[in-house]
Amino acid sequence: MSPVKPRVPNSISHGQPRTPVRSQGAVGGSGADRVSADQGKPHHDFGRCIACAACAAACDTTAIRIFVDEDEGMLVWTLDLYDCTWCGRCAAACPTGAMGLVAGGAGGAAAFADDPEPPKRCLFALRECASCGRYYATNKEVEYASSLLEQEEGNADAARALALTGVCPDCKRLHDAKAAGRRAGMKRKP
Amino acid sequence: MNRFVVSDPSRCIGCGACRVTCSEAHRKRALRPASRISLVKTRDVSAAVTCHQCEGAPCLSVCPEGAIYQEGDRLQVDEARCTGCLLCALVCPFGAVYPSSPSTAHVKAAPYSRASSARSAGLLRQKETGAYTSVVVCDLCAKAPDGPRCIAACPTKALSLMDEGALSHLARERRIDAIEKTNVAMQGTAQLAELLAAEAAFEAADVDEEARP
Repeated sequence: MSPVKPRVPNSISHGQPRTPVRSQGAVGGSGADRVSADQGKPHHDFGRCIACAACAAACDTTAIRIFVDEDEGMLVWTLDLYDCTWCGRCAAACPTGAMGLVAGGAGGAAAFADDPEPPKRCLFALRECASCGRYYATNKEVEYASSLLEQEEGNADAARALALTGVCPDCKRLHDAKAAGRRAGMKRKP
Repeated sequence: MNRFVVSDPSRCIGCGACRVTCSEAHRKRALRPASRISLVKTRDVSAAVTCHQCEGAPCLSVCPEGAIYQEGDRLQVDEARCTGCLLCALVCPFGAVYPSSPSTAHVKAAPYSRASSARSAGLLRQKETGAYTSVVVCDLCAKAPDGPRCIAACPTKALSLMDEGALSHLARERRIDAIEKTNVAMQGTAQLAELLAAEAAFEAADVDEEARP
């Protein structure tokens, strides 16, 4: 998959041409008329979602929740519209443009109470750490992060980060501490 | 060159004073209270792991919101812009990006007992709890008047600031080290040569004695 939302130009990747701006509904499929409003009924596009959990962190009413099913090696993303207040924070937080907002239509926010829409559940396969074997992120998220790093050509730090995306942050810390230990071991004893 | 805090595992005793001070120093200045430094304690080594302030910071380059930026020679997080997608925490080569909640936040209670256990790494467990709204990285205590607080707090002086001067000092020490090692090796060969010469002389004397009637 390729990143769909352009990143804000920063001092490292200054404004090189990126993939076009978050398209409204065209790529998202499923035919819903997604609008770029501040508020509205959330619409989730599984194809773009990487299960980074930014929406779950942004959701104040816990309508969007994340569960980890370790037996199956799956991350479960759930959206329950019963709890949703159409505040639109999930769409604002989404880094890939997977969360969109659907225009209110007739009745606006009042209509959702009568809308017997079942909760949506999405499953994402989890990635095991190459070093310790524990689950640390979803496959899609790791691939998305890798594809972002691949765009940083000629950046040695990004290349090193790219080589390490298969390892969980806990193990990276451990490796860094061990490397520091080896360096200290080389030091002359007084 | 970017400055950053380095730790010396041969001095670190793993007491955690740096973590407490880091958290407290940022909380006092109305920043996120999560500690920007972490401790690794294994059987062989105990060391503090810090942000290396990479020049081409991967955390900065993957941030979709532009919430991480370089200010002078240090990284900063714009806490209002960060959405908590944790892509930066995933790509950091040292695992030095930490999710944090504001110090006054209510923790979103997990309605069911959490299913994740030791089979999930810390990052995934934090995602499941969702009790964060922003990430934090080491900012070398930008708001503190006299440099990083962790360095001042370390009781065994295991933490130090690596900058141009410290780096050249380290390089000089290593060169002296290398010269001494070479000297020892050369002295060794000199002594060996002396020994060999002495042995040869002794044998020659022996031969002389045997030859004598």
